[in-house]
Amino acid sequence: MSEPAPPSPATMRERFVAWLELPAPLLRLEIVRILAPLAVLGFMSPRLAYADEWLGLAGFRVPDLGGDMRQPIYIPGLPSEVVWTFAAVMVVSGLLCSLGVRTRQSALVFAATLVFVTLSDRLAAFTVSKISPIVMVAVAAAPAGQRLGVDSWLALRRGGALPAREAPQGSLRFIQLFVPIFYCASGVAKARGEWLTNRFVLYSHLHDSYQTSVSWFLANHTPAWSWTGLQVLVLALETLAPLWFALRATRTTAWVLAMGMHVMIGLMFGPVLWFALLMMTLGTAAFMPPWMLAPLERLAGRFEARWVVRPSAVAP
Amino acid sequence: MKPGLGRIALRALAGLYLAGLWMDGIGCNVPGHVLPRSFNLFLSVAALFTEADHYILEYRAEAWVCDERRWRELDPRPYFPIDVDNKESRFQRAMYMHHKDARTMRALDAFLVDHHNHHAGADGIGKDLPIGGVRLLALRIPFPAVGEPVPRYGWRPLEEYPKDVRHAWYRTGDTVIQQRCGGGPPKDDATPAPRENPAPLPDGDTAGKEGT
Repeated sequence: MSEPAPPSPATMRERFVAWLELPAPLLRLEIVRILAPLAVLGFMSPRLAYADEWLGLAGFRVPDLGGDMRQPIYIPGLPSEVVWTFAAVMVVSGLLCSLGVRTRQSALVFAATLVFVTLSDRLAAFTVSKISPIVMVAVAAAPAGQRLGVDSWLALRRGGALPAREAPQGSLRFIQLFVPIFYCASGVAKARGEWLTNRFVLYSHLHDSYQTSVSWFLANHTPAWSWTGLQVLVLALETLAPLWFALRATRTTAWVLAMGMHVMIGLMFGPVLWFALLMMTLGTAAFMPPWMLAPLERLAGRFEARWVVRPSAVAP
Repeated sequence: MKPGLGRIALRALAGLYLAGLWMDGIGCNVPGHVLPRSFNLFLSVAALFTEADHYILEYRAEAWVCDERRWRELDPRPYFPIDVDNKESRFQRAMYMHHKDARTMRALDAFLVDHHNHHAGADGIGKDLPIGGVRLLALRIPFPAVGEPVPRYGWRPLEEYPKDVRHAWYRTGDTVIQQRCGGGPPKDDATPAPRENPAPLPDGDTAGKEGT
């Protein structure tokens, strides 16, 4: 969060509202708009490849359990031709959002498809399925797509003005709250589980079908106590995340540690890679330090300057 | 500038979502009580890897081969091609989430028998050998103690696992097998047949393994 501290209003509520309204770099939200749909589509890709097994009648479907807690809603399988049309809508809307084509509409359509698949097949629904619609609604509600997208490129080619670099963005503030709150809830859940009573929780997860060559190698070449050290670090990072990310002094360190945690998760737990990439996208957009954002700003500015049609180049 | 009603509504929704996510993660049941289950599902995201694994949990299937009159391993993976080799496979998930539910187990039974008999893939039993029922079981495979060499994970045939790591959850009823094959399984088969109200699970098959 590169923005200057808000002026000091009287109450906490006023300070919070002032922070919500404070302009922030649009580029942060464009990072979410460009990368989050790709991470989500990556997660969905094994499912999309077999869409008729996933959402249609070709695969196994849990019968209507009439209100069982493990089946929030029963949605019957779709006919094959509908399934493939639906899959195409999901892929196209996700890609259009990432490319910045009709960003608001494409993000909303993509979010709607994500809600449907999460409810339709609980067997293939995981954390990515559940948080991605929320992220896409946040993109749709934001001024996303104003920079580094097809629509913004076309606007510049038509002689439009360069987009502003900063604006108030409720959606970015939402993501800046979402990340630490998610970590905190996750950390408390771990503390209430076995993370405080069993020193080898992390180590115990290196053995099953999530195992990759990296986790297998590390399990055999690192001392067991190092996993306990990582366990303590993760628990401290997650449980106190609101504090680490709120304090200017610890924010960058917390971001680096969180990114490191997700890199490890992505490398060590097979299909969890896409979850790691989605969280890295959100974490980077929300908390990447300003000095790291600056070169990206310059690069984006250079592209946009190239796209602008100079008055001399406009036909009389 | 004062925010409009739409913006205020969006902020309120965002605040409620974040509060719900946090409460669900920390084990507070309020969202579960006040929200419809289909809404609450989207809040249940934060409690990940909260417990230690105490064994590798895998679900497997065996089929009653009518002509051979014996149980043989049926590899379900050709019929569940999504995330086929890990625990995010829909077969693994169906067993993990519903192994206590007789309706789902019967549906899975019918699905596997139908797929083998009519669209047989490379499931380990010849296409020309019809099957009459299935046994669905969990493997609880121990892993080495801390500090000992960790083996590379891989799918191994059922016969390589000792009996004491197998825990049967479901078997097609004798009558159904007789209808499908014209002859039932041996009488000494102790695998539980489907029940409407199965006995409580032994510890372990449902704790903390929701995945991500």
